[in-house]
Amino acid sequence: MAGPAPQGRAAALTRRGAWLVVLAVLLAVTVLASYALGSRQVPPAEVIRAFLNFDPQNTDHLVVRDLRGPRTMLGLAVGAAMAVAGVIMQGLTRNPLADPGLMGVNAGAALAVVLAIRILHVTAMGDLIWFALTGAAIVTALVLLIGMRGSGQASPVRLVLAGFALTALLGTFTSGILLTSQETLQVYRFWAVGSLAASDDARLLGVLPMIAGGAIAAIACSAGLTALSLGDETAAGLGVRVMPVRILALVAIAGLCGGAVAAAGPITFIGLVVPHLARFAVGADIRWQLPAAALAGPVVLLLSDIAGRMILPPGEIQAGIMVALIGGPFFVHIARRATRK
Amino acid sequence: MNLALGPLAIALRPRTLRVALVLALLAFLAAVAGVVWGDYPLTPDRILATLTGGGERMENFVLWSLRIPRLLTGLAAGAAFGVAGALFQSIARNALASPDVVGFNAGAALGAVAVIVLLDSGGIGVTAGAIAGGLATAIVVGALSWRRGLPPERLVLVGIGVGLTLYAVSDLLLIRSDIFDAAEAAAWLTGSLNASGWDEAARGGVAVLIALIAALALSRPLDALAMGEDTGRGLGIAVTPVKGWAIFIGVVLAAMATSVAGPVPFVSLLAGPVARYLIGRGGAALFTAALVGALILTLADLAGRLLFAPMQLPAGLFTAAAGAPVLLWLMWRRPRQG
Repeated sequence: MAGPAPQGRAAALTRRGAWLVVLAVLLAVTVLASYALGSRQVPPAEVIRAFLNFDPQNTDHLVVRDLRGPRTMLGLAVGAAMAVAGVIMQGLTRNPLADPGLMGVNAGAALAVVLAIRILHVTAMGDLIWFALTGAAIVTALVLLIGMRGSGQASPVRLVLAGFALTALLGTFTSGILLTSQETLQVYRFWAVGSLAASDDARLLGVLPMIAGGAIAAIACSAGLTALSLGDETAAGLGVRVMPVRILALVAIAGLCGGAVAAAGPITFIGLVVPHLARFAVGADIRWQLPAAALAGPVVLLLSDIAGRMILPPGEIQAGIMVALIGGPFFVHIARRATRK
Repeated sequence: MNLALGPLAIALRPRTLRVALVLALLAFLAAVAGVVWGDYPLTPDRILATLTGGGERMENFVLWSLRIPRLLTGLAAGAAFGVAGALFQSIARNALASPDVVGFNAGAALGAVAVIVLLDSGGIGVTAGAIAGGLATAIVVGALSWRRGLPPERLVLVGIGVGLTLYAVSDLLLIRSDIFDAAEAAAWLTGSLNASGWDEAARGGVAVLIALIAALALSRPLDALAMGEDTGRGLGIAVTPVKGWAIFIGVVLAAMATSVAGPVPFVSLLAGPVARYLIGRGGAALFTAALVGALILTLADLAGRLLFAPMQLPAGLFTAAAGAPVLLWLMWRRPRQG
């Protein structure tokens, strides 16, 4: 790889660093807003006081610490996980339309969980996340297999259609089981609501190790994926072994999506939108895209969650629906760009 | 053999006729099964008695108010979905360009939901809303994917994106309203005949009438266009008007079917290819697609009513369970084509 001149490289480094700082500040503001805003408004100063000088008699403090606290932390973890999974998926498939949600990975995790509840009568969160992981891994492998068959590199439309069909199929079985088994529905509802609303600390702590494991795998394969984006042969010339990188990427996607779905239910489009924002900010290098996506993902998810809380208080709209309202048009935009030739 | 009606005429080959007869027989059997079986036990002789006017109050209600209108709605909506799919597929020359894939059903569903939720209206208003939503979506998808014609890849991707967006808007409207409970709304968006009455059956009947007229008028020009636009022109076909009418009628049919049965997935996608496979030739196969669509939706509804009785599952679950694997298999078998 012919590197840029030293001066240019230093400038690029400064630019990327500056973007990461901007994203981090944005995230801090969003987190503060997520604590402050909702059907009950809490002034930002009071939010900070709730953490520095907690008063158990103060309703504002209780709202912030007990209700919005776990919800915001879950949004942070899930948003970052889905965004990083999206970066890996787009890098792995070299497809700007790839997204774990759209490709059926989240639907696979959800179906595996429902099957485990229905057939094996599993109810403990700690056990269910392993089924979510397995479901996500199987579907990721399946999508790649179908999408890449024939040409080696998947055409955008094949991959999207394979995901479309798989999501429909897996979702059908999930709905069918939930509609015919009240007991399964009870466990599943408690467990995955497709939103951040019913969060508690235990839920987050249960999935955090899996998300962390996925993140480590993502970091481990990021250099290899960046080289692979130049083409399989170039990557081989650079000494990158293709198969181990792909397997690591698959493990990363499965861990991140399995953990995120286990915590918040299937949320689509974060993995589509955020990688594009990250690429815009820090360029094509996946090693840089990972931190950028991990910062930008929670911003998008938390802003969607805040918007869902604000639109019609005291009721609220699931974050997943709000994300889809932004993500759908974004998908159309990328689709038009990808088929412009 | 020729079926002629003034200037409208279609050639019926023996194989096409045989296929049509078999499909009609299967649909009839499914229909009989749908009338006979159900939660409320009705023996064949009681059904005959009820049909000829000798039923008791409950029997009359079950048969005349529940099962028969539901059956007719399923047959009609299925036929309309089938013809709509075949029209689009033949114009785009691509099996994937069916209204359920490219977002038109999502637009029709949003139009219907908007009328129900925002205007608090029902019946014919819902159908009008669905048609308006379907047409608006078709225009938007067409405009966004236009690039020196409609490249199939671009059309499919843009259509899927628009469809996902519109379903999210429908979700938003349904959550905001308290007219539906969440389960009812989810069942309708999956595609279900649970709420079918004579009103739905009548609106479905109008759709079938439109579908039949379209099939009579458009079959020959579309078959000619299937051999290539130049060949079509050479045969004296006015290409642009034929395409325009086919798209317009296809959108209206898919919207009308959606307004009575919800956006049932994969019926439109399946009907055309299955019909062409059965009669063993190219062309639009509009009549056969109508029969295939009617059969698919009727069977799916039957499965939803009977397999997990007394639970009633939405028919859309079964059309998806049948249709999604076919789509996956199509892509597996033909790696090069979208």
